Amino acid sequence: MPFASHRVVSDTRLRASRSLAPLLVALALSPSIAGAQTDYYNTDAGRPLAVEDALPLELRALELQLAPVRFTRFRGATELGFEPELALGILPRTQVEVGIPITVATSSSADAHGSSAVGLTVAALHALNVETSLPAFAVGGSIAVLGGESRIAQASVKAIATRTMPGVRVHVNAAFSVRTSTNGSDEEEVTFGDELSRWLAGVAIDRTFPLSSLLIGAELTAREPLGADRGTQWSTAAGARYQLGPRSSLDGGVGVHLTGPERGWFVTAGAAVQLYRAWRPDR
Amino acid sequence: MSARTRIVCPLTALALLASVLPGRAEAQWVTTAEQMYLQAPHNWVFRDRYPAADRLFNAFDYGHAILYELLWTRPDAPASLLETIEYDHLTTRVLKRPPRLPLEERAIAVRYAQLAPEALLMFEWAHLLHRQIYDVLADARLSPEARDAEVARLLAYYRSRPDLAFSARPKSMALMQEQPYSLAFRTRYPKFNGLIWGYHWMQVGLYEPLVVYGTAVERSAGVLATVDRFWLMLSDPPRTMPHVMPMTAAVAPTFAARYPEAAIVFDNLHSMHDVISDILANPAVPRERKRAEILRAARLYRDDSSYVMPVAAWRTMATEMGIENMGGPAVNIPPTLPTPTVTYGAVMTHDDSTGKMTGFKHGSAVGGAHSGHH
Repeated sequence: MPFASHRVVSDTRLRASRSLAPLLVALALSPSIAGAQTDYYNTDAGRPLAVEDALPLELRALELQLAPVRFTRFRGATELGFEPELALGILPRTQVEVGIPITVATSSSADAHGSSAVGLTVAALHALNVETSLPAFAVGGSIAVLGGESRIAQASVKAIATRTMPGVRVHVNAAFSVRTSTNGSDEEEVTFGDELSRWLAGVAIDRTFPLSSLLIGAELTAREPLGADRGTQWSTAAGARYQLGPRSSLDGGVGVHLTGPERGWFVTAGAAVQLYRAWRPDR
Repeated sequence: MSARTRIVCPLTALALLASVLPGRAEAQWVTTAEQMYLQAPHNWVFRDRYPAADRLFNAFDYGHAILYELLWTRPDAPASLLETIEYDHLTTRVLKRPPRLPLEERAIAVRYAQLAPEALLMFEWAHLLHRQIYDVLADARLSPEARDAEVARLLAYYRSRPDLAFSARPKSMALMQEQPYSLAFRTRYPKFNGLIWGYHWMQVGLYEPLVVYGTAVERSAGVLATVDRFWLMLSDPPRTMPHVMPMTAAVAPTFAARYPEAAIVFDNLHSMHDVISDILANPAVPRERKRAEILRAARLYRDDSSYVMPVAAWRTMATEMGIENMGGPAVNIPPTLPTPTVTYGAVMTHDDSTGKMTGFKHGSAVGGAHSGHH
């Protein structure tokens, strides 16, 4: 689950996130983590596109998304989102993920503070089938709890379809969310990510270069951001995903919010590794 | 935000989703799951120690995948599509500059993967076993006893997926080459068929130097010699290629003696590769029957009761088929390729209880030990 972000002015939390960031970077670089599988072919939401495919992590795989970073700029403000995440293929065709979204933002107005927020997301994805003459279908759900001066809890459900044709795959995603907030209002919150929205619909197309372990893709999404009557936000993005080694992959993307109050651009970058000795079932 | 927009956008996504649905009534709902390889300290050791050989295996995966894809999607194409165009592409480009990583076969054999994902996943599961045993045998940190234990653990992990695992009981060659659809591929595409047999020779043959030799230097030299012999097989196709399916017990006898269960699994794997080629290549199998025939063959190769023969008979059968017809040994490799004693693609019949050769169903002897058979 990528970049659930929640901007609330809070110097305390900003300091907390600053102290947490080196820890997470250290974790990412820990030598106890040996490489990663992380198949370039199996895309995840936010890495690099918001629209993902219907392939879950394979059974018993354990993957750490090290540095999914998203930098957004609009109307002079900037936001840096970072969500380290652990994903596990816990059952056949089923993965669960736990992520810690961290957002650091600067305001466009001179008298405002910077802000930050830290949260927790738990998500699951279940593939209903394997692609045949039928597309691959998957369903997912997530719960996000995001901390700031107010706390937001959001529950989402998602449906995914993937159709593969020679050379290209087409993915369709549709997600709906419900939420609660401790202050009972959306008015003060600004969200830039793709998850905190009432609904999201998108289509993506990607092309695979199997001999190079490279995938490139593009998407068009529409979402209704949280907040009072913000209107539909149309976005488009393009990105690539590359298998670095048998257990590691890199991805990056760029995109534009074409409409809506957060009209602007964003870039994403990420890496994932498969954790070593994730499971020792018969010892 | 109007209520209409709130409804229309998600519905548009759902409409797009529906648009990718096929209209065909025979759509299959398949739920076979992928599974991670067994995590262990020896993961990817072979790749690190013998990168050239490892990369060739990646190229082999491409060859298998593109073969099935073209057989399924271009049934009316001239034989030259595989025998010339794709063969040349494979041998002059893909094998010469092999991919650095294992391939995503679903991205290459797109339509074939949709036709029979169950079979594709069976192959992937067995290929993982292949690679993980290379890792174990290439890991110099492991004692011989530790290697045995690790191979046993890999086999147990492999068997933990009975929906994907090939049987560890030897199967009669009749299952591979005496079915109504048999021989179509080797007859129409002898070069490509020989290339696949060359792949299979190296895939089982490479175990032998890793098992036979004790020092790192000897092993490296042995692996190099095995790879060199594979290249020599491509020098004058199909004459220089294996003339029958390479059997593990013949090509890698030390490995097969130490790890018979793995050797049998690999022979069954390689047999089913040939079976699927025949099913796809044989126009007598209607297109609407291809999937059913593939799944039937897959079921027969998974079960422990169909076409089985004793392990001793399997060893005898491998010997009687003749190592000289399979590309030769994988260690102590003679300077020249052996002279086959049967015609290319010959089908020998065997007594299933003893493995003794009883005659020819296709092809004939051209000399040597097989000259007395008809």
